[in-house]
Amino acid sequence: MDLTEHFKCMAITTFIGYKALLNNETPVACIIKDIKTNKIISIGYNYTNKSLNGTQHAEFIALQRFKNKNINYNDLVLYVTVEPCIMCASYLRQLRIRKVYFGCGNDRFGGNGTILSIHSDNLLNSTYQSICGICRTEAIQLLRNFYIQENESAPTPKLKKNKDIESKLFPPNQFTITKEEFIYNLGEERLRIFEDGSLELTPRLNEGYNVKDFLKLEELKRIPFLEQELGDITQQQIDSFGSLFYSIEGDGSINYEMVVLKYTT
Amino acid sequence: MQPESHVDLKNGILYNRLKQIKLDNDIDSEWPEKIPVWSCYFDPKTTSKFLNLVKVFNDDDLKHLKRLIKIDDKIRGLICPGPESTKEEIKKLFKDAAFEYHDLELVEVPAHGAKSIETTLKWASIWPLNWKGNPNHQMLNKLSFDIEYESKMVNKLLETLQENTEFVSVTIFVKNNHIELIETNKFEDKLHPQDHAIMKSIDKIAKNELYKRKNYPDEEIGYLCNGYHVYSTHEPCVMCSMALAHSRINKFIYLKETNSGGMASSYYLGDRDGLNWKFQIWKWIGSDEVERINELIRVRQELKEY
Ligand SMILES: [Zn+2]
Ligand SMILES: [Zn+2]
Repeated sequence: MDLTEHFKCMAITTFIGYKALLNNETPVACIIKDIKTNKIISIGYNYTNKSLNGTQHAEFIALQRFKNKNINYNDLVLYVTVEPCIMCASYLRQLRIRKVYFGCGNDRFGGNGTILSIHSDNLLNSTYQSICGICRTEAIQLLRNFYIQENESAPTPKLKKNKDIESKLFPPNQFTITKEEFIYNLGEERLRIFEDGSLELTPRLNEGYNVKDFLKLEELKRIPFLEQELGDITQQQIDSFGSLFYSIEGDGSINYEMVVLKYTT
Repeated sequence: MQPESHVDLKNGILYNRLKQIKLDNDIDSEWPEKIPVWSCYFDPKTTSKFLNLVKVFNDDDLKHLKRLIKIDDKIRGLICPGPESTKEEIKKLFKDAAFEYHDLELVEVPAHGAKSIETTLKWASIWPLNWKGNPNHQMLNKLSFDIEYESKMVNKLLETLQENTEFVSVTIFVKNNHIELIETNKFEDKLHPQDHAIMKSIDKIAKNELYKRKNYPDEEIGYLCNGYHVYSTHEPCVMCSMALAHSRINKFIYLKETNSGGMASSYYLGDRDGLNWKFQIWKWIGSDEVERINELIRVRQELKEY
């Protein structure tokens, strides 16, 4: 099964998260794709700091644009760097979104399987599928860059807690979907990754990738709302973005030998 | 412990009108979850030196534990939670202070205190715990409510609902005993989730704060909905319940449960550990108001069917 299209969508989403970081927001972002036209029709990024509204998560920003429009949410697929929180998971379900793809799990608030399974519980009728693990390490790495920055500006009266933020190893890759869902959505030939815990998904089996491979300036410039809301995009930005992430090898292992940079303001 | 006269500790009811909505009951599990904590042995004469040295660590996660236990002619002391510091860091701290110790090692201790004296004693076989009484009972006894004010707000909900037969639910946001917002929902086939009364209120409070910071920079700034008490005719959905937690409210009072509610009907959002924020949840059980809302709901259902 070729997952290139999903990786491309998630690479764009991760780049939007980076733009949010440049705008002093938590680097969590999403895009909405219309399956009828296969086009990205909206983007979202955390907007809680600027709006002073703790509910303005990426999913809300992306979908509230359609609030008074006639739209069939069942045609829409969401790609989001971090698993939707409990609130957003319920929001997506009430809107009857078609499907969700996310990068890394949300250990604190995850509503698509990590803490609660709001996408599939029996409180409401319609459920949605939520597939994890596309560009997982990149989503985590981007968040780490945000917390490094926060930590360095925060006063530390007591000994610094070792929160593992700067250590390079990523937590084990545990899928929040069933084996059947994995096979159906990500391919039986990748089951090894489902079972192993230390390997990452790649777009094509036995081929490695780096998230920056999927980004093209002209394409990014055409993403709706992106430049208007988060500022102009330059090739230099794409390059700085690319320097933050480890490559993934063909066997799904992470290339920790690579030198990656830390984001600084 | 003598309960205050308005407190029903067993059922978590205050003034016969407010019932506490709480995720866990007062029954302890057989054995507690455990956390690793650094510990070492030292001479009893150096106890005060030890206590002084470990002050640099955050002890929030250790408050339920006895810090020191006597073993033969030695003291075994807890230093700090495992993830807080490395063995090397602790060694260096002790070496720099010329503090003598031995057997610096991680020990697995109960992650939280017990809810009864019996369990406290039982769990002491793992590590001795402090017992200061049932934490929830202590909290209930200490709470001070202006029950007349709470009653007034609940009746305000009902009055507003009664104003218009199209209204199906009402929510009031209060800060410092001042009504900041009253939002209603009408019956609609396809109510957009962001039009739920709670989401509308949170949005208005944020916009108001933005406006205030811009135009009246000298006024005290607000942080999300922190400090707010929220009153609602109904238990909110999962989205709205979690939105209240994200918004850092302090107290929520409602009258009626709903099928897809996110509090008493399912996940007790607002009273769950680990979600970064908890707030008090109360269900109003005063019989006059309960009868009145049942009647108002009945009328609305009849109209809907009609
Ligand atoms: Zn969210
Ligand atoms: Zn709601």
